[in-house]
Amino acid sequence: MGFYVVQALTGLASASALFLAAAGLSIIFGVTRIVNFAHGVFYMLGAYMAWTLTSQFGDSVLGFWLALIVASLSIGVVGLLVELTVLRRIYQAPELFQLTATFGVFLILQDVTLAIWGPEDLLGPRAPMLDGSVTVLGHPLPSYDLALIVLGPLVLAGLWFLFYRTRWGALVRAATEDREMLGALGVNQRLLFSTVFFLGTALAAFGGAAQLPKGGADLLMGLNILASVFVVVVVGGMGSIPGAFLAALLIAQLNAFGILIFPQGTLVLMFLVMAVVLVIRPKGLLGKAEGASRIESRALIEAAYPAPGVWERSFWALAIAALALLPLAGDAFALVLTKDILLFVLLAASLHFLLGPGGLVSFGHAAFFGCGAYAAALLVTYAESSMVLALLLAPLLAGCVAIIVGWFCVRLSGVYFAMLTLAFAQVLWSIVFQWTSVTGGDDGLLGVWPDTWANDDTVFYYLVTVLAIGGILLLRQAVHSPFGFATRAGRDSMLRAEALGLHVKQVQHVAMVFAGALAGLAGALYAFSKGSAFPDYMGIEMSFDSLIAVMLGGVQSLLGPLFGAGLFSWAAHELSTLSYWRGILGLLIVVLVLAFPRGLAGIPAAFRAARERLA
Amino acid sequence: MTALLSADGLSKHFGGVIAVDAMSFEMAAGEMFAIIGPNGAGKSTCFNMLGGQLKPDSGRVSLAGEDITGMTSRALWGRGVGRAFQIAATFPSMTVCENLQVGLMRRYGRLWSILRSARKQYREEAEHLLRLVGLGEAADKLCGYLSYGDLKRVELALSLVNEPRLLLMDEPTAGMAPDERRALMDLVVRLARERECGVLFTEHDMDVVFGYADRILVMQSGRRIAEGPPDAIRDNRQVQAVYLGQDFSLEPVPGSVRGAA
Repeated sequence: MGFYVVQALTGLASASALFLAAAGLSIIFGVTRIVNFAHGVFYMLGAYMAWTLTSQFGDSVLGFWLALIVASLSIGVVGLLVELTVLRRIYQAPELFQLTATFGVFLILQDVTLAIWGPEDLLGPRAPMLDGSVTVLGHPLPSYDLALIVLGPLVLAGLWFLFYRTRWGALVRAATEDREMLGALGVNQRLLFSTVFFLGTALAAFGGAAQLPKGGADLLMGLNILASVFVVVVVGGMGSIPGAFLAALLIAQLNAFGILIFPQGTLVLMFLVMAVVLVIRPKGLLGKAEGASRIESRALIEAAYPAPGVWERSFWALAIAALALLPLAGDAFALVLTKDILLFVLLAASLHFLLGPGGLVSFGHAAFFGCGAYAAALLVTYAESSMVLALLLAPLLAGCVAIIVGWFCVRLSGVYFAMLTLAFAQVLWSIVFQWTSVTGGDDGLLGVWPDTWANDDTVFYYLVTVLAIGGILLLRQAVHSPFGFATRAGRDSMLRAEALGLHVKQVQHVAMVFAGALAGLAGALYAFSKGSAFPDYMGIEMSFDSLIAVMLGGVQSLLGPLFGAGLFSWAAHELSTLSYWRGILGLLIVVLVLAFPRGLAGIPAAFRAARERLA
Repeated sequence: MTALLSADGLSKHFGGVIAVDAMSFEMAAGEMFAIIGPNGAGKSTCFNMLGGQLKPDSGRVSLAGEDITGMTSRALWGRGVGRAFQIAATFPSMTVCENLQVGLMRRYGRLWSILRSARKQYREEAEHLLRLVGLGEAADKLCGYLSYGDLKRVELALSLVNEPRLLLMDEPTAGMAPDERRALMDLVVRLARERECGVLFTEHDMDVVFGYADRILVMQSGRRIAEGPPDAIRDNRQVQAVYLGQDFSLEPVPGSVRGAA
């Protein structure tokens, strides 16, 4: 009995840090409508900054707690700077664009942290007066956990006071309800947004700082907490602080007890709970239905996908000719690089079909890429299947997974759709990662090589090229097909599409299966190309990489994913020898999205517009 | 003979607000039937319940004898109900013609193909419908760039794709110039008569209402306060009171308003 009580109390303690971070994200989302990917990195920075300050001043009780608070406020200032330099320029931009920019900020700050504090994990300091443990029903509980348990409700009460007893709080609540109205009433929105962003990041940093004595600081904590925080905010309801508190308690308890029952599957458990909550209550536990979203007709007009003109046809002819002639150059490494780029382009193009024509922002598209790779690898490993059979079955299996995942996901829309796709991708990733006896876990599955007839580098290169280009052309053709029109119709106006007899959710479901199967084909080819399958193939980073590639290219162009994924793989390859290449990539992303809001494919239009302005 | 559309005791509450309270009416095929009333009278709520966007709390709607209460707009489409929304809903990233083609491909069950090219599908039929509503010239313009009045025409053409027997039009002429209004409503009347299609519409422009409706239903605060042919409604004291206040009465305006603008 005592053991379970202590376990529950430990759960409550971890709920506090989770709640702090989630509350910050929720406040920022509520007011600015930005899903801030950089949030996790502020949590991490809070922990690092607190480590530095406590090692200087943390010997007294007052010094320790002041150090935590000063650390949080200083990271809040960093957040404010990010708001002023980056976010302020993109509040009116499409959702996807904001995601890319904040992810760029994430990458930059991640590497800044690496540069300042180095790669080693830092051990958290002991909190003065709270470094021992108390005995609860015969079992020890760290005293610091008690402090954390008190901290969560304390902050909740403070936030309640701030929101319901101050003028600023009233403005924040009003902005969460109806941003346009607030602007019409003459409220200084810039100031409001900046202060909200400061508070949100400071809360995230405080969460990171507060858990320091318990968990220390490491470079992965930002990405790790991001997934959990998204789950908490989505389960609680976007923009609801009490909802975030409730969800943080639920998730933390689930982790505390889940680890006893199902030690390998805590991640799976967390995401499954989220999936169940979202299917039953699509807006989260305490979330309110969002008002009718403004139709961004401008963005939609840009995503009109006119029929290919002479330029595009010649581009394709040239590209295919170049790919066909490449093996003659005799550069073996160029073949390997081109194969990788082509498969990444196919993945990006299949994601583009969802993002662009479908209007479905998927955060977990790499799941299907990974499913394809693992389907092929498992078939080869356990059924001694030939490569041809594996290449036929892998897309089908990835498509089958997409049938199941899509069935849940298409019930939701917008941010909730994005989060649920991320959740399912994480579930699949955890299964692959933790089911070691079958999938090899972290060590992956090795020895997935092509059949003897295709074992020659050039032959396999041609196989990959033909299938990848075929897939990319099929996706392009699909956009101009009746089915592509149906997808775009559902994206443009659900109301009209339904009144014309279209089953929009069904169309979206099929679109997910179609895109999933092609991502699966790319994954299977990738597995044969590398001779292996690893959990990374379906990790969050892979999903985000493909998102960034599509965003860089621009969703409103069919050539966008080609350029975006091409540039991304090339940059990743060129930069990966540098120690801070992810940060440089992040900087590149932020600069590109700020300079060319419509992606690489929009650059010609941007230059035309600039020339017209000068003329 | 069963009515084309009949509503029986239709009600909808939003929290404590009674938006529509026990509405009942019947309309026949080929009839132009208008629902009018001041802002907030419950016209649009009524429309959304008939068109499948809202589920009524109580009451029953039937289409040619079949119970269609609470059916989705998709199911209603299958039963021959066309819809024009208060705020025109079209597909802005597609050309006018492509908008129509989506409707036609759905009608002929050709929406699932991935390999065919959509641009050539039912192009002529789409152009024919566009000429019918006076948009023949605009076929290749993107819907997102059209004027509001033209969008309303696209909506009309879209609702004709399925050869409907009932058209639900929420403010069909909003945002149009007077000449355009008359042209559009002349067309709607012609369609109603030729195709035996019932047209249920709301409108703020009283010239349109009194010039084109066969019968008018007047709503106030969610209730029906009068129903009858235009002349009877115009002379109805209660209706005058609703629109003009208790102390004013109107001299009956002689003749039809059609042609006056």
